[in-house]
Amino acid sequence: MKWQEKLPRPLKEHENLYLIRFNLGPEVFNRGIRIEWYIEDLKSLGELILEVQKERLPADDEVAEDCCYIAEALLISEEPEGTIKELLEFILDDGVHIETISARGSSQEPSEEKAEPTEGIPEQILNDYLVETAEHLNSIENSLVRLEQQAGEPSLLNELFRQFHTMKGNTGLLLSFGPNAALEVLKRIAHCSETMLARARDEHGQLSEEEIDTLFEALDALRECFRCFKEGKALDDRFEGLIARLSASPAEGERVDSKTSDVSDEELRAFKEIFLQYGSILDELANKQELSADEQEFFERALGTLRKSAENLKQKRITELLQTVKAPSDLKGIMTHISNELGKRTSKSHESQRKSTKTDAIQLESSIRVTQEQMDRLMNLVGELTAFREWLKWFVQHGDETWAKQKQLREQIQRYSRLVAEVQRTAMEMRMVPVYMLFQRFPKVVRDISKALGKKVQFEIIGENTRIDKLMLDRLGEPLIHLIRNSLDHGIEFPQERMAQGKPEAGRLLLRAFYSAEGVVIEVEDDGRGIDPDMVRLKAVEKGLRSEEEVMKLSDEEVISLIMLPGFSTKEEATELSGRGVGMDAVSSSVEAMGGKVKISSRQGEGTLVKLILPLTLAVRKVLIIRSGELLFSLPVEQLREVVNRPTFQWVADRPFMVHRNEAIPVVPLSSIFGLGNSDVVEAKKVILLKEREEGILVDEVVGLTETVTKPMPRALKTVEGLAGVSILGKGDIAYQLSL
Amino acid sequence: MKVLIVDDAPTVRSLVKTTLEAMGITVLGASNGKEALDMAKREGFTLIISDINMPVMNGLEFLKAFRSFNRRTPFLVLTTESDPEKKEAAKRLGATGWIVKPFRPQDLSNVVRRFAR
Repeated sequence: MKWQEKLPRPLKEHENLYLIRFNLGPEVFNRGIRIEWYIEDLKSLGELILEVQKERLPADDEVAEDCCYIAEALLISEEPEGTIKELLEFILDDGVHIETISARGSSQEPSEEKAEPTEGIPEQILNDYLVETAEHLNSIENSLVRLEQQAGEPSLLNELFRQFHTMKGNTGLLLSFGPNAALEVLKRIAHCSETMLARARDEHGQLSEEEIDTLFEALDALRECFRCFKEGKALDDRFEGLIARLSASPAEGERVDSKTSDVSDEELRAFKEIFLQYGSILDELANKQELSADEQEFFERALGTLRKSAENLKQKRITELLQTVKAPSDLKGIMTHISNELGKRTSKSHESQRKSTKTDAIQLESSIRVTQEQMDRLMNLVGELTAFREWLKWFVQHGDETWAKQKQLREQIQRYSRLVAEVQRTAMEMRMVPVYMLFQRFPKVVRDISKALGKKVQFEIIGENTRIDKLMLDRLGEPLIHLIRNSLDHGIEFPQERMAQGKPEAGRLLLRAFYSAEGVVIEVEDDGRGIDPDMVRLKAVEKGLRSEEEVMKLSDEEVISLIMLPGFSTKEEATELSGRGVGMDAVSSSVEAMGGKVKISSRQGEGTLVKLILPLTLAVRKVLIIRSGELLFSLPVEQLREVVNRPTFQWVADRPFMVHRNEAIPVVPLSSIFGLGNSDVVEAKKVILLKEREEGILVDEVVGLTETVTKPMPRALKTVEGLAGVSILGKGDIAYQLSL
Repeated sequence: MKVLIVDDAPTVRSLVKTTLEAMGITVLGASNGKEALDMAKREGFTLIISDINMPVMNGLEFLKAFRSFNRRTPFLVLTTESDPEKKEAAKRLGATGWIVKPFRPQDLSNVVRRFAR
């Protein structure tokens, strides 16, 4: 994890920062461990930022219970390391690793230890070294992360080379004051990394994925050495293997490399096939305490086949992993590793195969598939249960039972309500899927579009494990692609233009999802040219959407949201315009249809941020039940602005107006919106004001507030505009859900 | 929520029972592994807490037998020593975690709160 980037805010005093790595195999889950409990517990200690391991995510919406999708977590907490360790005690030796990145809460400890190993070094030099090296470690991490995205960027290679080089030099200087084991190792690792970089730069002009991985490893090792030096701790020879790999002779390294890439996709796929077949049986054997003679024979044969084919295919890591297997029980831990390893290989060679690899990895662990239909049916049943509860309530209120009996019934209903609420909550949680399922499409979309446009873009996704209602996620695809396209097409400038403005050549596009008090937030942010509010003013007047007077009264910020008005701009005009506006009305209306809202903020020349704020779920909505004539309607409360109880009317040129807060608001009877005939305006008792509609709606009665599950409209009524679905109410009555 | 406490010492059983019942948890007791195994086969528990040294069938044998048909229910072993090897052995057999004896009611309720959800 590039933790510097994931850190949502600077640390406060007394706050510590921990990096927790998860690498849990199935054996942990088979001990009754639930990773989500640990996540909850960790959350209770402070702020937790989670990083999902993409390779482990299931392809579709099935999410296996006993699989740890979380690769790393960043914890900001005031608690000391001991407390965190205590919390994770039962899984600490089983693939959970804690690293204290910054411990301010207990700052006395390290400084006490620091003095000891640094005798003889002038204080000023030592301090400079400590500060500089910490900075270097961070900038190396940054460069490596960027290099991973743009493997062949020569300036990055040079930068990285310099960083390792400087670190080596600084360390050498310090060593001239006296020997130190940790520094010695640090210097060697820096030296070997530098050599490897130089080699890669001179021979290929770029780094292979493996080489980048090794450098990441080297970075971790440097950190560890640095920590040992600061704390005056001894360092064993655990990094010798790494140093050997870093300084492996170029010819050999290349040979391995080229052979690996010689392996065709076909062969890899075949190995995967073998692995899956044997793998699942081996996995089963791994759980047995004792094997029969037959099983033992099978085990040895299967293992042999796997080893041989891994060797043939030059799958070095896998061969190594298999080499450690002596008995079936050894397999337990490494099966997931291997399938991950396989996932990594294949995704590298074949984009389209990524999906199947992910599914394969899941197959080794147990999961239950639930189809969308089953899910929908469950939600429908939840709706029926909710409706039944409402009916029960109504029945008790209106029945002729004695008071004592009513009280009894009410208690039972309360219990029933609790159960229904629980079922509803569970069903809803099951519908929540990580946004990654949608977001995973976008890197390719961004790459394709920016290539076609001839722009350089650095695309980043944050918060991809934020969970959101599956239905909502399905409907977000279009709007998000729209926003991304807008940013790339109209927001981010061409490389020359950017450089002329002193911006980095590559534009930055950020897609971020997170929870907030308002619900789930999805942001699309770019550092492009932004929106010119004056152009928007001009356009809005030109299009007759607002008068000149009106636009002048609006602040720049308010003006920008005018681009979401229907008819603000058309495709042809958009590019010449300040940048945005194509289909923004479509985006905002589809988000609003889900009960969400869109906020746009932009600074000219600096970029644009579009924020989609979405409710946590679509399934259950709070609605206002209203009656017009014989019919009941339901109105999602998010759309409601105000209910006016005793309206007074005036007639202006045959049109009814309501006088409300010194304003004359045109009113229209609900019945006439749907062509159900004009009810008498004067008889109407209430007027409903909506957020998105200027006219007030006349209704006969406001029945009350309730929670309902919206069902789709019956087919015959699907074409009626203004109706979004049907809500079933307590007595079994039906209310049409308005979408005005 | 239902917790099974397995210990041949009635005092430990009653201590666990009183502590957990105060948290609104139903507690059932068994005095050895065999008794516990029969119960666990008949009904489901949210959490099982078992001593290791017991007559008839000890805690680790019980754990092993239990895990052969249930891998989901959290299972905590009560242990008098904090010997890492003992803990490792229990983990290998499928123990979720451990509580070191003697424990205070407060320690118990903390652990139970985390593993009986």
